[in-house]
Amino acid sequence: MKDKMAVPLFVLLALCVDVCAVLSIGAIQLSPSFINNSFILLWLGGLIRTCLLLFISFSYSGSPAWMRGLEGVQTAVIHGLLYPVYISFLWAYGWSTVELVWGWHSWQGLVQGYFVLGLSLLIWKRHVPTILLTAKKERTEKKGKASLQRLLGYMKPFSGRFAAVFFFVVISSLGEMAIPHYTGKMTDWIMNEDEPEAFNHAITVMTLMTIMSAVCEFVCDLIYNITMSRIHTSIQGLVFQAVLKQDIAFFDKATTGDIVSRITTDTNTMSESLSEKLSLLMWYFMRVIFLFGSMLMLSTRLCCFTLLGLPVIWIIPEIFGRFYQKLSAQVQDSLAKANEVATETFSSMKTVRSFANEDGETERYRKCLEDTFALNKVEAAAYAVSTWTNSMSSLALKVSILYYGGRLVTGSDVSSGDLVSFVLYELQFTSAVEVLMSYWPHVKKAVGASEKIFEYVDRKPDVPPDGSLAPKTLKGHVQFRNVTFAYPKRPDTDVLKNVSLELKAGKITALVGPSGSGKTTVVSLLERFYQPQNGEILLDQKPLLSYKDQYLHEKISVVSQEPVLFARSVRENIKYGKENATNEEIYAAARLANAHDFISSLPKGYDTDAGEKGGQVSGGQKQRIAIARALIQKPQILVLDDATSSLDTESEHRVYSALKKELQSCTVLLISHRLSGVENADHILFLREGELVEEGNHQQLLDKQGFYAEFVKQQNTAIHRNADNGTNSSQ
Amino acid sequence: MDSDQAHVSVSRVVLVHFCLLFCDLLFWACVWAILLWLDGEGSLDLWCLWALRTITFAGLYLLSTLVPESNLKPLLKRWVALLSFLPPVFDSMQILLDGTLRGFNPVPDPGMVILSSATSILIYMVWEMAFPHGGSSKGGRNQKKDEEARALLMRVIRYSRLDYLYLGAAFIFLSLAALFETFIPYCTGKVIDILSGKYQHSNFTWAILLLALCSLGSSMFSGLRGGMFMFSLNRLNKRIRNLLFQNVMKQEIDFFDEIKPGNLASRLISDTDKMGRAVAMNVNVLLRSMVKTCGMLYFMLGVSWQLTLLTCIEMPLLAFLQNSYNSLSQKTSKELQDCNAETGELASSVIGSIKTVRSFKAECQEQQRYEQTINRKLQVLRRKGFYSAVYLLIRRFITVGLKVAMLCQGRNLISSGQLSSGSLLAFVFYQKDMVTSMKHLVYIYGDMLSTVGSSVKVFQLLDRKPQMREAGDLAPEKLKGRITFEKVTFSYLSRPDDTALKSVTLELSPGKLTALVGPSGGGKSSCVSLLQRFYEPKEGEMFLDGEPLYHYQHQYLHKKVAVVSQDPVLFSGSVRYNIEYGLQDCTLERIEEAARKANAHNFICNLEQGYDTDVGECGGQLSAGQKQCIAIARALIRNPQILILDEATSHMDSSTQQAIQDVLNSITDQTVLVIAHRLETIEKADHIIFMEGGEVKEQGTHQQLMDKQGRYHRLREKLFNLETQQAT
Repeated sequence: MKDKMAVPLFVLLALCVDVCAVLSIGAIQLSPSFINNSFILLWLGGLIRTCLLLFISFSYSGSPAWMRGLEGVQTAVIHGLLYPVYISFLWAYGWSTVELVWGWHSWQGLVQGYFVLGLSLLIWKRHVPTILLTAKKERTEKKGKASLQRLLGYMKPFSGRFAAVFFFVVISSLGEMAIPHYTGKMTDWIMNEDEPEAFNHAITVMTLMTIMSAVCEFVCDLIYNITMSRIHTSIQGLVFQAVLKQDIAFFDKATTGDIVSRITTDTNTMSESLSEKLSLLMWYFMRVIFLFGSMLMLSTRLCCFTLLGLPVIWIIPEIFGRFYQKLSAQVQDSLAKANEVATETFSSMKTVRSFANEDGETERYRKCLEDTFALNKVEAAAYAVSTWTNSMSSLALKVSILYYGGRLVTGSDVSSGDLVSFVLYELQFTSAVEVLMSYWPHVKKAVGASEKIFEYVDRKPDVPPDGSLAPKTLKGHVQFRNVTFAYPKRPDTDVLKNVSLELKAGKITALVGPSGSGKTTVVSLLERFYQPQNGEILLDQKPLLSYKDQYLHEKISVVSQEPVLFARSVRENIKYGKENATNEEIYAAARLANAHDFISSLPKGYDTDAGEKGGQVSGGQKQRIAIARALIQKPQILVLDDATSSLDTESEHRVYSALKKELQSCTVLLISHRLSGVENADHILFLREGELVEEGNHQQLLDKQGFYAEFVKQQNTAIHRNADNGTNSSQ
Repeated sequence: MDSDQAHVSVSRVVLVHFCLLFCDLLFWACVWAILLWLDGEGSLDLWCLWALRTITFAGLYLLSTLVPESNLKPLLKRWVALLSFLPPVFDSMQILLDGTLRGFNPVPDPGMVILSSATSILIYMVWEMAFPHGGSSKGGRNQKKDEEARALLMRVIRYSRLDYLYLGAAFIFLSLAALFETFIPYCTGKVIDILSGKYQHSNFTWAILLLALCSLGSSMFSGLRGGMFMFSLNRLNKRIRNLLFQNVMKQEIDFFDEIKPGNLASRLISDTDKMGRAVAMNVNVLLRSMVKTCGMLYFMLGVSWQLTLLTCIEMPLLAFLQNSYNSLSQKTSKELQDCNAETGELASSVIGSIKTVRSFKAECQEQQRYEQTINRKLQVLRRKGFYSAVYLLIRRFITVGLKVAMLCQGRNLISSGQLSSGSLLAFVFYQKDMVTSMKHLVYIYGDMLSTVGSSVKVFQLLDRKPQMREAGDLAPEKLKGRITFEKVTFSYLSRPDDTALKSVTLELSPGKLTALVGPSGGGKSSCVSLLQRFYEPKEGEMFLDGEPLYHYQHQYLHKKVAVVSQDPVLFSGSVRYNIEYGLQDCTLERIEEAARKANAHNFICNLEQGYDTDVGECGGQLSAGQKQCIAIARALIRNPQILILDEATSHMDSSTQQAIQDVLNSITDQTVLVIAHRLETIEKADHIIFMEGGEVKEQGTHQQLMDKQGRYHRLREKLFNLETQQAT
């Protein structure tokens, strides 16, 4: 409580002391001994005021902390020496200072001095934090400048166009000056009524200048918009290209939505900011310069007065504007969350209905909306205050200019016509400055968006360089030697531990084991989506890394248990593996995958749309299309990762029989939970918790009575009767 | 043929219009003749002028009815009205404003008559060009559209009824702000007048204070107005979004099959926001611009009617230009939006499936496809830029032309002493604001029309009734769980010609395990969907304990029937949340018990945070088998009377599958339906139903079906032969 009262008391005390000092000095000035030495007394008075303020600041315990530091000293100096410096300058320039010398200690002078002091404090308070944060800002600015240089780099091929744009902007801005200028001139001429020819001349010149300005603006807009459109689309293509080159770990960490948003939304944001906002920024900047020049020529004093008022216009709205923007961001986040809840609910409507949880989801959505509404209420209040301060400050400046200008007109320093021109210029000047201040954050936003975009463009794929090996014939002999691997997302958990295994050429190898034992990881490593931490992978006795990437993916085909189909026709989905495949090749692959019959019975046959992520076909049908897509490539190594889990037993049997007949020279890796496919494999590998615990053929592993035998036993429990039948047959 | 007729029509139109103008001039000649004949004794006062022009209107109107073309009548009606009533309106306004200039009384001036005719022609042409109404059929269509738009707008306003208090306050602040804003140029002009003429300090101070007061009021009420309108908008959005979400929750599954969830969610946010803006924001700006326009028009007419006339000529021209630009701009904006959606969709598809793309080394192909879509976007952007530049150029020309004319006329008026320089300055300010307000009006009108489009979408969703029979309220304490299908025929809405089920009759007995087997596409999953009342059968009926399925209460039915599908959906949240999904007050012990039954407890404990581990987007952090285990736990925790497993263990390893099988075999008082491809798992079922092609081919126990030597037997024998061969 005592501390809260201290500051007001300090202010009150300082004011009282200062006023007493000024009044005393005024009284002394009137005494006979000092009446002829006004300047000496003026400076002495200033020094005394400064010393008094400093004395109070340092001796009074309740004074604010900043008053005892550098800022306090600075404030005191400004306070005391303001009038002496000002009056001395006026005297040096030969202007009349008698009135000021004798009037600075009046009440009016005191109020003016305090006002200027407050204004300087306000400006100082605003810029000091910026200066103090220079060290931190240097890093940010370096990064920002780097991004800006990148953006400018994309514009370099069009530098000639931008030069033309700049030229036209200058001419156009100059032309804009015509109307206010001649409107003001007319006021003078009309009152004089002695130069009718001058009026016609002015009208003609004004018309020509404005028309020229409009034409230049047209050409400028045309060149600029077309150029920026081209730059925008080229950057978007570049970002997409860069993303396609990234390693798979990159896609594991970022969600699809984030990446797509980066490519489309961020690029669009950057493009809009650059094409529209930057253009307007340049345009208004030129206008500000020329308007200021025009104002300066009309009246230096009015111009200085306007400049004094501008910081107020900037600072007050900016404070509220910043708060308002923060709120808007929160509202957007809140809405995005509600949208997420809605999307998830609608995507899973069958599950929601199956569990009769419509009310629960409605309540969940309602809560999100309530959060948004709470933020909206604060936002509405902030909007009201923001609008009020924005409007108030500019109107206040205008009223002040008219008042001060009126005083100057009565003093014959400025003509009424000049005041009219000045007011018209000032209106445009203030608008232009406001536009500059409001568009600058957008340009910053573009730079921020471009930083995110360039993160993708600059990211080096965490992949070893592409090899050059591409032999004409490939046997398909795969070896894993002492491979240890952990996913980048969970580096502490080894998925594969010192695994050594072999896929012999032309043979069917089965990989079995419980869920989470690392079977699918083997496939990912074989496709070179990731790199093992230890060990190496060989293909035909050569390291996998030495093969050409394109060649490797031509020779290896993978069908996973949840295959991805694209929102295109069935034909295009099968052709995806071989763009120039003929219809006969497509049909042959489909037959091999036991898919031809059901595809033919679809509404549009092979031209039926598979739907988003293959939504129009069932799981089993999707798998068969994926198998056809893999087979059309005629791979040397075929990997089926639980690829027939959605097929019925008969379909599965047909697929395996067809594969066995047609792909005798092919190396097949079979990953499955089901016994029917595994039994017929030439070689069986059993993985458990990332380790290879057993390998051999079906009979060998059964004899060993280990994990595989247990696996087979579980499979055979249901068909115990068949074993009995077998025994009977033997007998 | 058509072009010739159009040409003749245009000439005829011009001819007819000038004939009527000539008749009007003849009338004026008669008036002059009569006045001359009276030799100064007679004179026209205002009432006589109005009476004379009314007579003229009647006469000209009768003449216009003689024209055979019916589509010209509306045009001629407007033309005649304009010709007849412009002079008396002008003189009336002059009298009201205490103007010294009279055009038509006491004696009509020939120059004024000519000026009046020329002005009428000009206004008429501009009006008809800026706001074409076209033929009657087109007019009828537009009228109908306007009526629909108005009805929709009234409906939106009705939804805002609860906010009338806030909206009323907002309107009051709006009017006050506009009023104060209107006075600002007037005060500025006063200040300049005082400075230009004889200086009086008190007058100057008074004018400055008045100006300051208007500025303060204007800014304060502007802020309050904006805040109130935004508050109302937010309340409306919240209310409608909740209503919309609730109604969507009631729709049948067919609805969700057709529409994409992203589109639906986007409609909730974007379209409701647009619709809300129609009331809160657009009406705000519309009314503000209207009030400002009226106020400024009043002041401008007070200053000088001649200058106001010039300004009024500018507004229709700018309005016409704005309308043209709006049409083109909307078209290109829609194309741009489509291009963006296309690029976004393509990028999403490719990046979402990056492993497949990379596996087939198709990056180059996808890059080319993306480049093609981007090139299309570039074309649209170029066109948009060109339209924008041309629009700005023409607008600048119009503005400059009018301004020069205004300054010239202003000089003439000042020279003749009818206008002061301060008034001219005030007029300049008013003119600028007037044009701005007019632009706002035209823009908002277009925006409200597009808002109506959003409203249509929102109301379509709000009004949609579920196309299913409404659920009843049956909820018996004891449910046995006997399910019967009687001659059920069904096909999906998206493929109505493909019959999924054909007159299926089957029964699930309580306390028994029934297996549903058959090849893919046989209709097994369709049975499950119908059981959950996701769809309605076209024919036949389904019964639960003898009662039709739709008689049961919705929550009750789904509490008693639990389904686990092959690709179960998990929600983003913790494992615990997913297992207890939809239940309230669920203890951890109960959750763990269900997880143990589903053989999920062990791997859940091995996860990073155990039961609190987040499963990620759509359960992305878990394997397919693990997802199935959690889904089974979610079903078992409810202790349902009817348990349906639709290929629920297809991704599990054998030991887990065996454990689940043991749990199922130990169930004694529940009805269990298992759908599987693998015959091994269903051999022990109490009842086996074989479906193929949407029909029940065979049913019975394993032994019975084997004895029958039918379809089931053939499939079984094939598998047996494989194993026999292996043994050999």
